[in-house]
Amino acid sequence: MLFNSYIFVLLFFPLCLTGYFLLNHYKRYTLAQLFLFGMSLWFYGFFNPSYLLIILFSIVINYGFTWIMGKTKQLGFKRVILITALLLNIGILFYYKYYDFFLYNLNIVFHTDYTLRNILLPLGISFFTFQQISYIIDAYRGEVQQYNFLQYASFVAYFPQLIAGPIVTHDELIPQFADLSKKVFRWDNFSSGLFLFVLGLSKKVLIADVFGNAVNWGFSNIEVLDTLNAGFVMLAYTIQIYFDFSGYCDMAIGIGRMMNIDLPVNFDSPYKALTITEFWSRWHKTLTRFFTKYIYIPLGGNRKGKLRTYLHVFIVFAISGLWHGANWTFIVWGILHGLFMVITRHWKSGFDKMNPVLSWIITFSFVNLTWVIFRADGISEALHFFQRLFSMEFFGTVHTSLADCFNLADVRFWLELMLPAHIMGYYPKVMTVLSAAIVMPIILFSRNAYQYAESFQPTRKTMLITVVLLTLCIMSFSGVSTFLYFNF
Amino acid sequence: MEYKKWGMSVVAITLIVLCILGSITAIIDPYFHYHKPLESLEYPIYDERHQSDGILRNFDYDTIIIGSSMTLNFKTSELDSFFGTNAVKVPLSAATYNEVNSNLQRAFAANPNIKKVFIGLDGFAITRDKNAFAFAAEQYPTYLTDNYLLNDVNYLFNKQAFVTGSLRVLMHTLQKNKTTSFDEYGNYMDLYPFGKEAVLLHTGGRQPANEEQLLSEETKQIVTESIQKNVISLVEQHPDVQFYYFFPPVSMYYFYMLKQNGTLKGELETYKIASNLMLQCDNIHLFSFFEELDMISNPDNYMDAYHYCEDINSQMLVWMSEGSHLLTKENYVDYWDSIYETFNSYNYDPLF
Repeated sequence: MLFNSYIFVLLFFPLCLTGYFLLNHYKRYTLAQLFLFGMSLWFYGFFNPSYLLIILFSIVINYGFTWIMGKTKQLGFKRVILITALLLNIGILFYYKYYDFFLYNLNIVFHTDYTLRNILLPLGISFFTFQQISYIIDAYRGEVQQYNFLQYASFVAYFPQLIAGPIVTHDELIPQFADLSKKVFRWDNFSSGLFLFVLGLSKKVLIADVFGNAVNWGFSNIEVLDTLNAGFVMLAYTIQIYFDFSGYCDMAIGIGRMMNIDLPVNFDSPYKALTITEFWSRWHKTLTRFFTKYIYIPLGGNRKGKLRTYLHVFIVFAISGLWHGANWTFIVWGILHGLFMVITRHWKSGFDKMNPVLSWIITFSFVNLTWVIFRADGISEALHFFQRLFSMEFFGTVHTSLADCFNLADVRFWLELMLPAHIMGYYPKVMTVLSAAIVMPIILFSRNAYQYAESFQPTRKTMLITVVLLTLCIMSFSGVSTFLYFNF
Repeated sequence: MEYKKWGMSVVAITLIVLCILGSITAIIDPYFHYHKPLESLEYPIYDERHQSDGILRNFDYDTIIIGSSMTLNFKTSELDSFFGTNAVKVPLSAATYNEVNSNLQRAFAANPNIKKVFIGLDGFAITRDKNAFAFAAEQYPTYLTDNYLLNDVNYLFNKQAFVTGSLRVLMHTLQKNKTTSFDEYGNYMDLYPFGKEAVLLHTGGRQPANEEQLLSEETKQIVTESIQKNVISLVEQHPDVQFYYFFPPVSMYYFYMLKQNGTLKGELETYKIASNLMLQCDNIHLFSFFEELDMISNPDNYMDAYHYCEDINSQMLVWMSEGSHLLTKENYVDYWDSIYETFNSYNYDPLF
C-alpha cells in the first residue's frame, strides 16, 4: 500500500489510528499491539500477499536466533549463531536482489548460459534485512534486552518505516511500544504529525511526481536532448529523488508522530551541503548511521591511519552503492561517491578554505552528475546521457515534449480563463522553467518540512495550508491519462 | 487555537470539501459514468477513453459505430438517415480488436435495444494478440470500466476530472455551447492538413524494397484466435443484432509500404482468414472498399497513409446502406486474390 493512495488515507490509516488508540484506551495493550502488527501485515501484503511469507519467515527466524543467543553463555556458540544469522539474512537478500545480477555477469565473463530467474524483489527487503542484522549484531554484543515476540515482530513490520525507511533500530522503537504514556491519543502529536504528513505528501504528489514525468520522458528520449534540455532533465531528477524520498520519510515520521511514535529524521536539507561529507551527514542519515556503526567502525574506522581510513570509507560507499540496487550503475555511483569522499577528506583544508559558493557548486554539480548514473538503466545509457549533456549543442528552447510534462491540464484550465490564447501558447515552456525556478530556492533557502513541523503551531494559517494541500493531494492521487497517440 | 480544535477542523473541513467536490462530479458526471447528460447542462464530448464506457452504458441508442481513429469522421446523422437508426459513435484511437470487443460487451450488458453495430477492422491490429490492448494497462481508467463501486473514488476525488471535466461542462454551458454531437465528436477535418505533402511527410516518401515474406503459421493462429474471441464469439451471443464490419479504406501509400516491406501478401492473407471466419455468421455484413482505386490513390483524401477525409466515411455509409462492396462466402477468395494482384502490380510512381 502506498501512503499516497485513497485506500491508505481514507480507510487504512483512519482505521489503524482509531483501532490502535481505542484498544489502548480500554487497556487492551497486547491486543492493540497485535492489531498494529496485523495492520502492518495488511499494509505490506497489499502489494503482494506472497511477500508476507518472506517477511514472516525473516521475523521468526531472526527472533529465534536472538532468543537462542540470549539463552547461551558460550561465546563460541554465540559466534556460530551470529555468523549463521548473518549468512542467512545476507543470503536471502542476495537471492532476491542480486541472484539474477550475479548470474547475468557470470554469463558475460565466463560465456556461460545460466538461465535468469526473473525473481520479483519483495518491497522493503533491504530495509527490514538491515534492521534485523543490526538487531542480531547488537544481541551478540549483549546490547539488547530480551523483547517478546510480538514487540519484535511489530518493530520489524511497523508499516510507516517498512518499505523505504528511515532505518529504525530496535532500541529506538521497541521501548516506545512498551511505554504506557505513548498509548494515549494526543491531539498535539496528532496535529503536528498530520501537518508533517501533509507536507511530505505534497512533496511527493505535487512536486516529485510532476518532475518525475519530465525525467521519464528525458531518459526515454536521450537522443533528442541538447545540453540545456539534458541539464534540465538532470536537475529534474535531482529534485524528484529528493522530494520523493524525503517526502516519503516526512510522511513516515508524521504517521509515527500521530501514533506517538518518534521515528528518526532521515533528511536534513541535503542540497544545502557545501561538501560531499556534509551531504552524507544530511542525506539518508539512518543509512549512513547504519554503515558507520556496522561496517565502518568494525573495519577500524579512522583508528588505523589515513590510508586505511580512506579504504574503509571507500568500502562503505561501494557497499552502499550495491545496497541501492543490483546494477552496475549503483555500484559505479557508490564508488564515485566513495572516491569523492576520500578526495574531500584528503584535501580537507583546501575545501575548508574554499569560497563556500564554489564549494557548494562543486558538491551540487557532483551530486547532480552522479544522480544521472543512479537513474540510468545501465552504464551505456548514462554515458549516452552525458554525451548529450556535454554535446554543447543548444537548440535555444525547452523541448516541446519536455514542456508538455509541465502542461498540467487543470492549471491550464484556470489560466485559459484569464489569459489570451497567444499567451497560453507559451504556457508549457514557461511552466517548465518556472517550476524549477520556484522549487530550487525552496530547496536551498527555505526550512525543510521537518523543521516546519518542529515549530508547528495550531493556527488558522497552518490549518488552511493543511486543508488545501491535503485536499489537493487526495484529488491528485488519480490522474486522467493523456493518450497522445493518434495514428490508427 | 487548541490542538484538538485544529486537528478536528482539518479532518472535518477536508472531508466536507472532498464530499462537495466529489458530489459535484457525481452530479454533473462529465464522463457519463452514472447517467446520460443532464438536460439542464451542455456537455463537451472529447475524451475517448474516459467517456466511451459511459456513452455505451447510459445513452439512449440502438446503433453503435465503433473502431479505431478510422471511425472518427463518421457522422451519426448520416448513418441514421440511411439506416433509420439512433446511433452513437465511440471511436477509440489505436484500439485493438480486444478493446473494441470489451467495450461492446459492456454496451450489450447495459443496453438491450441494440440493433446494429458498425465496426472498423483495422489491418494494423489484426495480428495483435487476442487479449492485447493498445496502451499500457495503467493508462486505462479501469475504475470507469469495472463494476467495483469502491474504486469510484478515483473518479470522484480526481482533480482533473473535476476541473477539466465537471467545471468544463459548466463553462461549456455558461458559454451557450451545445452538447457535442456525434457528427462533430472526434472529427479531425479542421485539425490536420490533407494532401500529398502531408501524406509524404508522415510516410517519409519512397522506401527500399524487401523480399516478400510468407505469413507464418503462428501469425495465422493469432489472427484466428483474435477473430474467434473478439468477433465471432460476440456476434454469436447476439444473433438478433446486425453487425456491419468493414476494412477501413486506407490509402494506396499504405499498400506501397506493405509491398516494399514484403508483407503485402501476408497482410492480405490475414484479411482472407478473417473473412473466411466471419462470413460463417449470418448476421455479419462484411465490407471492403479497396477496389476503389481512384479514391484510395488520391492523396487529397488523406492526411497520412491511413487517415481519410470525412467524404470517404460518408461514401462508405452510402455503399453499406446499398449493400455495395459486400464480401460473401462466394466472392471473398477471388476478391482478396484480385486485390493482391492489383496492388502487387500497381504503378506507385505517381504517388510521389
